[in-house]
Amino acid sequence: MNDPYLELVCPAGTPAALRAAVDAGADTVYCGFRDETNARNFPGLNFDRREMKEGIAYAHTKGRKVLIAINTFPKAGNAQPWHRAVDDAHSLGADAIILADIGLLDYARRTHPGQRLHLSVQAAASNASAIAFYRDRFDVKRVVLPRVLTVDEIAKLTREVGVETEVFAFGGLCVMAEGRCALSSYLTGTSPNSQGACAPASHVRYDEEGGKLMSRLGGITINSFEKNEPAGYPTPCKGRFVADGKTSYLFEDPVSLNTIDILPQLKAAGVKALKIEGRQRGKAYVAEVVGTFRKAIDQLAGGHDGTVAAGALSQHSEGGRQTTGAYKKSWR
Amino acid sequence: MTSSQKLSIGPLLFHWTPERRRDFYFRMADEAPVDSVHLGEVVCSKRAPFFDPMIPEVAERLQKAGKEVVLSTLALVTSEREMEALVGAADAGLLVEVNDVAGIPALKGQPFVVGPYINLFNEDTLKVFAGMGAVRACLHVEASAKMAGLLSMAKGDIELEMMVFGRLPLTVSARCYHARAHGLAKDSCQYVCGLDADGKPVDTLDGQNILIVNGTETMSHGYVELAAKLPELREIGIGRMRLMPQDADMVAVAGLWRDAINEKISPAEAGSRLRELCPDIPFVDGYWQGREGLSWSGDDAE
Amino acid sequence: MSQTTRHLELPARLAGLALRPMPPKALEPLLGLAMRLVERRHPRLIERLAELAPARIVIEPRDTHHRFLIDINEGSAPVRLMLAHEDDEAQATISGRLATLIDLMEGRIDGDSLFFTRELTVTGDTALIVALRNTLDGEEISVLDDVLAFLGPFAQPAARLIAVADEMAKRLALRAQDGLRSLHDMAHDHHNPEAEADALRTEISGLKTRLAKLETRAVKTKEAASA
Repeated sequence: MNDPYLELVCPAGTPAALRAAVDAGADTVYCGFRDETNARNFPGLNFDRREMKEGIAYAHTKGRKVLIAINTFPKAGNAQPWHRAVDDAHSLGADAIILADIGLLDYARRTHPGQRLHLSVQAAASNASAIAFYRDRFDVKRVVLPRVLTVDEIAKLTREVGVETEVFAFGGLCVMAEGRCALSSYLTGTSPNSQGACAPASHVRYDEEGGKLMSRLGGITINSFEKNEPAGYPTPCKGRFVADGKTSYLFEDPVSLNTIDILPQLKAAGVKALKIEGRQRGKAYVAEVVGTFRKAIDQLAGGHDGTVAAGALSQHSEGGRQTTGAYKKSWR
Repeated sequence: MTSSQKLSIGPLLFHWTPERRRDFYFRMADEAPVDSVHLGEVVCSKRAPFFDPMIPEVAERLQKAGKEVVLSTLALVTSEREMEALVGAADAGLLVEVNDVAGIPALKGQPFVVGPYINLFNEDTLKVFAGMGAVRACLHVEASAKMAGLLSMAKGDIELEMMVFGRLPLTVSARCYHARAHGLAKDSCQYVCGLDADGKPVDTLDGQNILIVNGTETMSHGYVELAAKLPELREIGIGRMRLMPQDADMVAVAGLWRDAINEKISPAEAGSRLRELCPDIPFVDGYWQGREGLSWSGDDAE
Repeated sequence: MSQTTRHLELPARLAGLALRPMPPKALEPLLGLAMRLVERRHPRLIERLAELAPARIVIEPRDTHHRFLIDINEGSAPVRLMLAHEDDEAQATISGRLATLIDLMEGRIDGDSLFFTRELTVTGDTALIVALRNTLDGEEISVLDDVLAFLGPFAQPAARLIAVADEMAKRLALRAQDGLRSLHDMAHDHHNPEAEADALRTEISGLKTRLAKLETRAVKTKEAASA
């Protein structure tokens, strides 16, 4: 990759968040339609067609890009909403469409040959051969890498694959390989893969019991917090469980990804774009996280890395804590 | 044609000693009334060197017993070494089951089986795989009867397979939870996953058995058990039933399924005898019903 | 304050006012005025909220004596103060410190962050609270701008509007702005709230009267112009 510019790709769950992201310095905003075609299908979130059109116009006026995520897996017998989403994303002028499903990639490539396609993290393409498969078959121009790779592995992949790589820089940390996790559906019957919601709010309950806050998903106890103890999302992967008589965060602590401290390494690895997670978050989060990363990237470009402290964003992190996750091998 | 449905023994997902593994497969070859048997490491590449040397011998024994041998491959491929293993599998002269799309280019057009770790949720995706040489597809753990039926209508020449017995592989990760439970990292794991022949139970804070960790994989605590759904599976057009190896009498499990398929015993009887074989394990079939995976329709009847 | 953080200022500030120990009767009209302004300028918010209807959500500023009930129906979402011992029969409750809730309503802080730090508690139907949060966060409501827009026909020297009304409207707009600023300061400032609240209530009441007069006058002017 000759282009040393790190593109900052930012989430927008609402038109207000899209404007906040653009105003805070996002190069690119990603968002989805208001249905189960995208992997953040949460109540009150996402864009109808008119809002998408207006959002794209707002971003384009300011010289920024908009990517539309259609990154769930179409249901058997009902591909129509997904096909329509791809058609509309194309006609609304999305700078790229982010897809995960092989059948849908096939549809998009056949139907809109010139449309730029990105491979969603939900496809969990974690090696050169898998990426080559999507590149050669569907001409994807960029792949969003799953959060299972170390920086060294990312560097090697990026050199090999000949497509742009995008990596997660901040936000909710999938502990499992993305798009390959049925923990939430095992407890709720709602599939992140095909319905676009992990730990859907409709299945989440919080109960105060004996001075503790209990979180439950589908009636199954996920965690118990002492008074004032920092909390996390009620996803099974960040719950407290008992194994061998020991209670622990067996899979992962309530913690968020923050790569501020390893941005120079990610840049040196040749990644094209940094992605902020959080289409379910409010515009205050978007503005602050995007602004902080904008500053850090600009400083890095100017040769003054390291002045933006990772701790600046801890209030937005699950459990108030941050990690570099799988980017460091010791995480495994 | 009741006897047209086939039975397979899925890949052994736990880290048994090479000797135990070999003996297990020999028993499958000699005693289990199944049509095909899967070999190969799916969960963790660090385990593969232990049993890989025995694969030719075991494969031969199975083939001599008239079983089809399928080589299952790794679910999550990240390293160079794991990529090389995929290429090696393609050259093994066996039917390969792909659990990461990385395996498809490596096969260079050979026929293959789409494994349950592949996100196959709809007809369009099934058709793309068919065009690339897929001859069989084992449906995803989340597959419901409705989804299976719709895929079946679009399957063409592809045979559909369904996991009907055993722990469901729910997810894979780069991190090893077995090691983590023992206070170790994956790199220095001491192969502690070998201590739990059926996986390590993970309970909720209020003592509910819910999940199992098996190295980098997390599985359902309950065994999926679809014997009662046999007529439905048949009607839908599921051609092959996959039994996942557990720390249980798998010859007996296979025998019950064979008898049920051949209508020597009723699906209900097969179910109740499976219950007797695994008295301490909850059964689940929620996904098949389009519900949360851990639910069990037997609760309504019992 | 940036454009994006000025959301729902008036309702929030009125909420602040309402949570002082003062008689609900004095507050209801202010809440009503605020909600009418929001409904008028943000039909999409009401439309979006209607997707949740029917729903009753209790907002509980736990450092005060009051609770609010949002009653979401098709086409409207009135907010009212609850009686001290009223049984809420709500599907969900969101509680936190008053200042925290105001920050949340104004889109100044992210709801998930507040949850992580335990500053916010949600009970009952979690999906309903998430939907309300996302819906409010998705609207760029600035009641300050709403009031100015409400004055718009007067503030902008539109054709056939008489100059004196224009002048008056400008002065009124400035005073409304001052009033709102005071309200904001009050919500974050705890000394002598009752006296200030009374003063502000009088101020707003006066503004309402004068606005009504202006409106009447504008209508007459229009009629005269088209006659």
